[in-house]
Amino acid sequence: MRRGLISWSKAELPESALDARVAKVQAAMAAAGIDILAVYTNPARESGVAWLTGFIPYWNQCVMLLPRVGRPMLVAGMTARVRDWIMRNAHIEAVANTTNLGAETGRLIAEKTSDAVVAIADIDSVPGSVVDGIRASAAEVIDGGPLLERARAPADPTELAFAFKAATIAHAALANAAASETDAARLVAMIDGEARRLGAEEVFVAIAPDIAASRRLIRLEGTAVLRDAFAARISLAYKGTWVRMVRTFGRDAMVARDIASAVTRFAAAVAPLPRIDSLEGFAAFLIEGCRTTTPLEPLVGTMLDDTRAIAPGTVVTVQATIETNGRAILVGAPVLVGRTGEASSALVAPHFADAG
Amino acid sequence: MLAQERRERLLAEMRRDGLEAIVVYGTSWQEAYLRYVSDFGILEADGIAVLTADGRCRLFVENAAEAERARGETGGIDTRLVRNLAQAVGRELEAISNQRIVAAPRALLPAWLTASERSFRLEDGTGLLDRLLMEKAPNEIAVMRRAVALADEGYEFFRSAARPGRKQYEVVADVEAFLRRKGSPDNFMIIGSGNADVRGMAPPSERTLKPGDLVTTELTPAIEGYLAQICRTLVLGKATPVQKQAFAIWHEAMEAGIAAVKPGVTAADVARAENDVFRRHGLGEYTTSKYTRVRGHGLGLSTDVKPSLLEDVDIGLRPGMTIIVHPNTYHPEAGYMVLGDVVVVTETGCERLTRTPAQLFEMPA
Repeated sequence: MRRGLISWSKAELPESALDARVAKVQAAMAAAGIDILAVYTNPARESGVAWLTGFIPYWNQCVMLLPRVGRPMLVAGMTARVRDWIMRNAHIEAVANTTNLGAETGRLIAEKTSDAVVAIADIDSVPGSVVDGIRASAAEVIDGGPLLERARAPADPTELAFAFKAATIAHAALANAAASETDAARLVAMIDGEARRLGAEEVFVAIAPDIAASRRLIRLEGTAVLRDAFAARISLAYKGTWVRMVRTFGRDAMVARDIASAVTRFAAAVAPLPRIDSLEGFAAFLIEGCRTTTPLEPLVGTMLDDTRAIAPGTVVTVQATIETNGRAILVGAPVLVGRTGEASSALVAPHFADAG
Repeated sequence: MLAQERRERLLAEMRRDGLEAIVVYGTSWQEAYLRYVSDFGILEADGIAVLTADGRCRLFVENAAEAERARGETGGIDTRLVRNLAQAVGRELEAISNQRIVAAPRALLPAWLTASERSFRLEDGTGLLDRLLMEKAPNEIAVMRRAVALADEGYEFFRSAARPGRKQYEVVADVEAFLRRKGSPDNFMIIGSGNADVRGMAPPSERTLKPGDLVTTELTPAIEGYLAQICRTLVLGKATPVQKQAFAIWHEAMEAGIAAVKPGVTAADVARAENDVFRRHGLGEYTTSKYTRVRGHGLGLSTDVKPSLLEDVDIGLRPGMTIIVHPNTYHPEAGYMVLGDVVVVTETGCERLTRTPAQLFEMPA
């Protein structure tokens, strides 16, 4: 559950930016004959509602209802004591607090109209109790995911600014950790604490304490000894926008040289995105992005059986395992996917001053 | 080992009830059911585990980082990265569709899995898991004791970090770093600062701490997935008579609640003992949902396992339950105040686990 900075900054996310997004979605709703768009949110599926209203739930679950005309409202599974906090941190018309989210959402839809066509974003992932409540009141229920996906790409300037800020925090947090560190818990603390001090809404740090033994990045319980080559991945959100960055640390000059080489190869390999042929030469790679309501959804990668489209003009996170002189180097960074004819590039290059 | 013990306990319950499988859903704010069965502490997107009566446990996740973590952090689990969580689990269940399958928490399962056209039927098994989550085995209580001790340490650190001039989120960042250094991977924490203008705690904001502020926090570090909480209030500077008088009521209410905790009483009895103190002092209005959520709650594999301490909750207390008794609410002159200690229900009453003094701390301004 969230415990980083959650606060709607109107300077960074003006009401006009949110109004423009809502208007874009409402135009698509009108064209598709949709009366109401319902978007579910919880701390793991915050992206859709955060994009439309700025609201980020620190726990519990909510449904945002967007009519074809007018401003969105929020049905929140929290008690009325947090109503003021929600209204301060969301660009919405109203909030209804309830202990029965599905039934209350259905009741509010029925109150507006008796024969509504309701689109539920990512309907397959929404809890059955919520979908059942909506179905009980709607004439027709369809998946609103494709509509939301089309509206979100390419990313608008505000979203790009948040992604850049998130990438900057991720880089600073990883730079705050030293290759000389030998205690994994202290390393994680340096990264986690710095990211939160810089304003991250949430931070997850995973580490591979000894890459020679295992390349797997895991969350630390207790501590571990950091060996000669180790890696850390930070996943963080800044005002609803998630990125990841991965850094490999090496204590001797040869490892440092291999890290520098791998980072250079990584930068070259992401430039052709959305084409992925350059990444296919690596031992492993993964591209993640936010299409609708879920942050960091897997799009393309060596561990995936199928692929999702990488939209030009959006931000994705790329991670790669690059074999260099028989050594695995883990690298990752958020990348702005170029529009037609443009090169893609990391928002903040995963270079670090001590090269590991 | 603890994870295996939990699974064996659940399997014994499944055999007793004639269940072929249990399906558990988890997401970051409802992580307990999934953690109990799979030992995976989910952070991103959703996950579902299927435990069958033969002891096999399959974990389905839809986030690639989570799949990698699950494979590295759990033992004896078959982890699968899938595109469509509901349909992947559905394919697994079709093979046993003619047998009894229960799900927890059923209300949060993806709609596709509970649709009437499925070949399998998922009964509600939430009550079964809730009982196991509430009534802890001795080894679980041993971990809870360690988590409570870390919460005590965490609050001591919090007191040193909460200084005038610092922003709320900077204080929380320092506490998080402290807990990571201690090896705790997770924590839940909300905060409030100010005076009568503050009606509750929330995630940290940019608000700067000032001399005279009441600073409240609910700090909840995890060890091996078990979360223990502490609630305390401090003043930056000397407490005013109003703040001291208000705190005395909170203290009286917490002690009344703890005194009521014993096997056989209900959650409602404990909540009533706390609220009666407020009513006696003419503050009964502030025990309602307009000002406060619960008067305490269970702790364990989530920050908020059952029972909720509310006057309409009739769950009986049983040995092995770990509960925080916290009469947190708003005071019309002092502002929002919190105070809460963790207890474990014993055969004859309860044992207080929290060691931090139950006082209104005065910190240098």
